[in-house]
Amino acid sequence: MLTRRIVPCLDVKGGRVVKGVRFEELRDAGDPVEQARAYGRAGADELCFLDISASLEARGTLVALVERVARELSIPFAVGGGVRTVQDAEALLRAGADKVSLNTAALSDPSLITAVARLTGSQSALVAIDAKRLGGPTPSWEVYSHGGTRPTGREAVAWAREAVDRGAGEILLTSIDRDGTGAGFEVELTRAIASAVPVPVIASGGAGNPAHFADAFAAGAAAALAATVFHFGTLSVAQVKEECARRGLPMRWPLEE
Amino acid sequence: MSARVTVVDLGLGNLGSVMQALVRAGGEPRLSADAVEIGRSARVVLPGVAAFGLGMDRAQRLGLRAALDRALQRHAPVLGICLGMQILFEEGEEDGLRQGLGFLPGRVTRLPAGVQVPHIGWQRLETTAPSPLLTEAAAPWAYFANSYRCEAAADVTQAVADHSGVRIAAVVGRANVHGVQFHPEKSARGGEALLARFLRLPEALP
Repeated sequence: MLTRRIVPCLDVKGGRVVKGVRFEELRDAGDPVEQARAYGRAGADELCFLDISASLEARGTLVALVERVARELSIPFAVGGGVRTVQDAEALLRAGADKVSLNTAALSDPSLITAVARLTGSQSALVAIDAKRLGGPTPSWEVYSHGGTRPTGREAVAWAREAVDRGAGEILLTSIDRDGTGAGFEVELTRAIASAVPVPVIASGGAGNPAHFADAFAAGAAAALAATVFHFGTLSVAQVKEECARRGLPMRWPLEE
Repeated sequence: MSARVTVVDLGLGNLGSVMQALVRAGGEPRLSADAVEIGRSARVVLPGVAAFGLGMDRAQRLGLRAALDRALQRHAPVLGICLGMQILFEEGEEDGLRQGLGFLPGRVTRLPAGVQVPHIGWQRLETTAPSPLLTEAAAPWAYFANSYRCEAAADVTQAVADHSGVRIAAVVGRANVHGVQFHPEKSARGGEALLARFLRLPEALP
């Protein structure tokens, strides 16, 4: 049986980690390789690097970062943030990223998903969906682009289905309402998307305690991503995995072979 | 002394991770797209992602079947990883029905509807027969990322992974031909240990 994955997310800017865990043993907490290896030792199942560099110049360092991480890390990792073209995606995959995350560019040109999936297979084409709950009696969610700032008029479940039809191998689903709140993943949204598509769904946005991860898994998420709780040391990967395992969820834990 | 190993370059996917994982496991990997060089190798690793048809196109252009034949005649251990394992089989249905390299009996088919596809994530292997790549103690944690599986003949299947009731051949082998469906280069310590065992298999005759 597949285990449920815990995916710490690291924000990077200009090739440096600006939001990662505060591991005490690190000499250079801004070094993506040191951060990545520390997370690997701590039991993370996968990592996600989100490039938040605003300038193109700073973005150029991303490929070099991916090359260094790929050489040193022995768990899979995804890279996202500002991937605009199939060439951007190809450069990251060639540099050693296991998955490339597409968001705004896929919304403006959905054929990009198919083109990226053709490069190395759909397992490398991850589509990130930032969704915000709409008012009304039946729950529904609208997809936002540009880092969650612009409404697109697309409904999240329909967009997830379309993305998968076009070749997405995974959906990284962020609740804009919950992101950064620590109030828990949006379980209803997770359930709605996970039950609509055959691919794994990575729940994101709102993690505050270990039980929140278990709730996301119970709602059908194959993986759960968090940045803030790991960054500020509120939670360790071990705490999260222990709690999920205690609740009977299949986890890659303990790590001993 | 580090173990010499040739990594076949089909120009697909991420070879850097495989190369580095082999170094960490005690190997001295050398990348090659040259059939003569591959045929003379001490050991061969056949990595790969992407699709069966594309993989076979590249393999044919390189003359990989004859190269592996020569390596195997000299008793070189061969390890296929993910797509590299899949093309070792007789045929695959991705991109239309295609012939494989035919070193192992069985065919490669899409995972059936009703289970999560792609099969992405970690799970512990279940050993079904002895393999020189596995210890007799606990089977390792393995990271998978595949939409197709090898329907391998029972006598070459050495470990499997259960995916919601669908059986995925995870470790296969016959004589010096080995294959793993998961990614040992992405499977943390368990993956590294498997690669180290492969590198300790006796190398080819000169």
